[in-house]
Amino acid sequence: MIKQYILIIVSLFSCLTLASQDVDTYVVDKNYNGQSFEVMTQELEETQGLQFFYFSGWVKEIVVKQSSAPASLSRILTETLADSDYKYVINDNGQVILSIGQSIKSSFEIVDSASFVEEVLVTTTTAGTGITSQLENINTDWIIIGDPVSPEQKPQVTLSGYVTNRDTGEPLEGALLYVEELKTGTVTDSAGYYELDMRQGRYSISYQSIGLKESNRKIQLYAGGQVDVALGELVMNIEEVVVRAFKKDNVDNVQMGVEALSIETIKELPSLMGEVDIVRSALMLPGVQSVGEFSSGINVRGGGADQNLILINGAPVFNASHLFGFSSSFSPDVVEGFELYKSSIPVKYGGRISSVLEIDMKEGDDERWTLRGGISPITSRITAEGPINDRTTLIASGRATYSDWILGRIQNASFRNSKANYQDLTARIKTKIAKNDFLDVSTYVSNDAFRLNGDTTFAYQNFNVIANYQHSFSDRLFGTLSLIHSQYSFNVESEKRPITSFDLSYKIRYSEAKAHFSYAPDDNHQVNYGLNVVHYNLSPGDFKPKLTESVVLPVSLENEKAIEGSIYVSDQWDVSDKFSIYGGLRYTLYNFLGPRSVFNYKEDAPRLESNIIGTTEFGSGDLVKQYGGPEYRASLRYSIDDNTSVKASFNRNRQYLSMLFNSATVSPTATWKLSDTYIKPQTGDQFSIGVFKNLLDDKLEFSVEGYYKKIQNMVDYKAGAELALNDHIETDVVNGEGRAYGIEVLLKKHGRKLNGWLSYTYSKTRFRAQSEFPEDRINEGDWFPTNFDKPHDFSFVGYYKISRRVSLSSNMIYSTGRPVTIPVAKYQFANGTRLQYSRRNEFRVPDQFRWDLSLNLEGNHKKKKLAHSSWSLSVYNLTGRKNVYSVYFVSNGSDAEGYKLSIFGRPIITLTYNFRF
Amino acid sequence: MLLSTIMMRCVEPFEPEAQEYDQTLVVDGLFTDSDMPSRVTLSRSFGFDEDVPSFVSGAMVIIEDDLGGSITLEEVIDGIYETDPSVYRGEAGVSYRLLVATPDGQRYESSWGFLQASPPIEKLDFEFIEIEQNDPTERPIRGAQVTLDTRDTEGGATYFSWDYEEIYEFELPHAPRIRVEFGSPPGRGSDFIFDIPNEEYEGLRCYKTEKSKSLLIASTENLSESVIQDFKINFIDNTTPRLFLRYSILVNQYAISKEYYDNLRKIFEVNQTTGSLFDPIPNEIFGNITNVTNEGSPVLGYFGVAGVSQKRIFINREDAPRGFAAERGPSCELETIPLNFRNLFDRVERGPFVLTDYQRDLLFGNPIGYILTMPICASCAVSDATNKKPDFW
Repeated sequence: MIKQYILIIVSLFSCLTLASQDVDTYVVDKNYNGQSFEVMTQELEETQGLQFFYFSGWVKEIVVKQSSAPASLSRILTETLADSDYKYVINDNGQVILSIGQSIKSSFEIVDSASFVEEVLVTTTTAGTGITSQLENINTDWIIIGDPVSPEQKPQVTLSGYVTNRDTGEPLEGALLYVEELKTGTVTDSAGYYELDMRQGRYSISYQSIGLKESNRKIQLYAGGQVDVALGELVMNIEEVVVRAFKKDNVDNVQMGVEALSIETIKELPSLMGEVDIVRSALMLPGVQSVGEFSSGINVRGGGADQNLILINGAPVFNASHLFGFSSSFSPDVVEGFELYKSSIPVKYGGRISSVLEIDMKEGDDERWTLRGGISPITSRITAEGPINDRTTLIASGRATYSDWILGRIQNASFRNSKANYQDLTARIKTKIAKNDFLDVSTYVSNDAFRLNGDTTFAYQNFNVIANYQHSFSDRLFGTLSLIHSQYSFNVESEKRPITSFDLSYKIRYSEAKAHFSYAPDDNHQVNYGLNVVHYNLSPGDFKPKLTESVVLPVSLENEKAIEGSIYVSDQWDVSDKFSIYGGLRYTLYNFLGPRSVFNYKEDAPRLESNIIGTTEFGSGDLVKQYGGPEYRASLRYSIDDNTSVKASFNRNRQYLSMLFNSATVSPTATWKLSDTYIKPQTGDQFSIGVFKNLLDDKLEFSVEGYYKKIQNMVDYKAGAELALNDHIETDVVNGEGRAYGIEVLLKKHGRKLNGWLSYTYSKTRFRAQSEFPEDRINEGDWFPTNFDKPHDFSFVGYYKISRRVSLSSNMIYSTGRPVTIPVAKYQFANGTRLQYSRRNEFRVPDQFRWDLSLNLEGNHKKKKLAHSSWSLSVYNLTGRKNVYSVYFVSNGSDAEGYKLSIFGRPIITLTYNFRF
Repeated sequence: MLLSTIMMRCVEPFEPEAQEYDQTLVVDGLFTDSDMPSRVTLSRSFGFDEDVPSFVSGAMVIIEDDLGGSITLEEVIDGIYETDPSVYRGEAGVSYRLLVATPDGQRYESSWGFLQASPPIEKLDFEFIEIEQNDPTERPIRGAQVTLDTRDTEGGATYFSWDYEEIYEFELPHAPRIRVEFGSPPGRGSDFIFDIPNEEYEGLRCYKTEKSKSLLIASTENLSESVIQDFKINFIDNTTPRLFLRYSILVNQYAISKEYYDNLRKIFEVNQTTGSLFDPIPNEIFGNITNVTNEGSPVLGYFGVAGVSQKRIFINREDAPRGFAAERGPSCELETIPLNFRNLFDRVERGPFVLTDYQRDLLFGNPIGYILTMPICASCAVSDATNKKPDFW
């Protein structure tokens, strides 16, 4: 019977929305009213030569409705099927095809089974659409459940099974099953288990999990049964992946305050000068802000720029921006996407109090080698990936600027003598050692060099390497052993005047050993536990004469060393379908170690250089100062119904490493500083609650989250603080407390053509430095807004697929202007007019608004092409609004002038070309 | 940043809205070991829409030392108080502080400042240079760069500040030879023209004095020797008449304390911001003066104590390289009118003109008209200059 194939066709075309076409050519003379559908079709096949394609289980209970005879076939079918989910189509060849839920293309002719499979494959590549369908993913083998001859008598049956990671054997929690015919799906629980009630029939089910290859199963369901699926590594070329957000994750997960963006979404966002920017894209999410449109560092829920843990493949990165904030330092070609934890920070992470930005690196393709790259006005980049052998894959990506060349072309003396360039390199190699053992090594290097007007050169480097050894002990216990080394250094050199030429360097070295275990004692518990040890070694400043004539005094600040150890355990317990809780505890102990000279200050006096009364010396390895304490992480979820849940969470985090900068944004010479005798570790407590709701069959996700955060021992700076080469930094900073609260509203739309989100955040961020001494207070010890306090923040991101090859994306941002300190009056001093400034952050720059657009054009999708290419045209700041980046005042002695500076005061149009071999 | 700066950076004037501010007391004092009077100025901060501050007159201003000596300063002009160096002057190795009582009943005092002797200025020199403009289509700016070297061999002086006084000579093209006195009403026969006697004649040269306005500071704390080389004191470009005839600069070098240096540095920083987000966030800067009557109320300014040394150099017209052209001075237009007092009255009393001389016939030299010019071409005082040649010139 040809009927066997109907569902394949349906599945292939289900993504094409074509209206069913009425063909009134076929007239039925007999009145079948009240008869069974099958009787009618059998008779018509015999008498009229028509062919009906459907699955017999479908129509068992369907009774023909026919008001008159003769009547057109289409009318009979329309009436008969009106109350059912079935749609039909009659093509020119007299073939009647029934489908569930969706009409199919009527011009399609069903041919014999032999040539059919071939056609399926061919069709897939051309018509296969928004729902991923790559040739290698189509698994044409049918899984037959139950006996086709004697199917189960009830039409409704249950399909269940486990989804696991093929490589590690680990159960996949949150893996998505999607039944194309039914336009519905489900998500696996923590044990990787799923259950789905469906009618008997043929289905094409796709199984997906982030970072893994989607797998399709074609299932003929005659009875309830089990299908277990193991998902392998993702091998698809990234441009072709459409990651469908986990439909109900938003509602079902116990976590809150977690945002994820896939690289596909990030790439769709309009870019600035063609640079796909991982970190900047996070700014479009609620609760994430930055000081200025062109600044390094993000501020998450009122936290400082140094309070975010940025990880690439698990290894920390200490400076995630190129050219001081022009773009983030991760090549888009090796990145899979990122997760940003704004609250509900998993217990395995520690060390920063505001957020964790976890950037996932891609694994190399395990089937074939590909080479791809891109060219933008600023950079060119290239990526290669492929299998080294059948157990090992490699991906490596490099990116470099040619801005030096551009600078040389600019008709401006100070720019022509300037240099600015950067490079980054990322590589990952993953190998399967044994059935249950994997070794995964990745490395990341970035380099920046900058010279302004020929005198001073500034350069900085990131380097990290991580080795993960993964082992699955059983289906329920997995372990990962990691060794991490990460370092960041910068260097300033000046040869402006030989006599004062110098070389200043800074370096932080971070080494970590970590063991992490994940254990699922039963289906309702997911336990994570582990421990880690971090060794810090900082060279906070080494200042040396550069040329032989130089008389600068070498200054070398003592190295800072510390060991931080942590143990943690957490359990996620699904108490019932409606109720889940997550509880975790992380305990850290931090030891600041010698050798160290610690200044002693007069008691009951402000901490000033003039109040130093002596020094305490600590020998090598001596304990100088110890801090530590528990960090509690808890969240709970209660589902009101399938589509609605409420969640609450509490988080405490401790941070022993802070960044020192007294500018509005992270400055090039900002240095990381370990907590010591005087600089106490920062502690952040955050409470949050939220309501999560999915609407319109999960096409719309809606959430409202509120948070309140308290930060202790936050650092701010005294007027004119000297941060470079200062061995008594405690005299230049003040310790204070921060508080932040806000409400975030997010509406997300998932669709085949239109995707995007609207987000609005109302938040306040305040800082206070109280002390009995006026020197240690800011604004007399009152609360004042931080540099990144922007109460109203609205963003819109929209992505519209015009056709398979053309898409349009747009984003729009509105926010309150950031706080600034500006002069309120002038005064006469030392023969000149000087500026009298207001209290800290008493004023604001005007509100900010920006609209960006981008049009992406894919080359054709012919498979046998030498290179696949795509073009992207983006317009940054379409309205050309002069958003005020900063206001500043210059007093030349005789008078003071105020200026406002906008960086992108007109639209910026960029064309980018990407290719792939 | 760089690239953005290149392509899109856009700077517009920004007028802050009129803000409420307190008229904060500003104490601007510098006490030295010089034989010139030391000066303390008391004023108040003022709004952006105003040009000059209001001065605090009638205050009691005392400088005392840690050896028990003191001097009460005398108010020479409103708000300006001076020492008499013949009675009391600073000595190296002694600490001084300032005490002020203002007429509104507030008492102020400064912290103690140690007087550190200043080493002599080793070298004060100049060089004619060209500075390439950012826009290469524009001609480079030409002028003389004045630089300073100093070296402290005695030890002790690590922090320095400088100020200077420049004097230059320029041409006065049309100093009046005659002046007019109009009767009332004018043009009715009671108007007289007088010749200006030689001793009252303005002359052909003016001398203008200007004081430095910018803060010049440097420290040698990171150097193994207290050496400063090629410190840029002043760049004199060719857009003023400074280099047309003769120029002189007198530089005062002050050896100052670390606290004073830090304070000047902070003031310098907040007055020279560039709009970059990497600039330190500007702050209110308060000095070493506290209000003792009303603790915690802010006081601006500083009472500095410093050892001073001086050096003067001249730049003559001959020093300029061949082809160097400086601005000549005021450009003057002359107007000639007939001998008519009514006309003259309209131009001189009602209009902006100044009578300089008669127009005379070529043959006999008889007056046939009046020559009028702009005031700037007829009087040094209009340019805030004087026609008196300084003694050292």
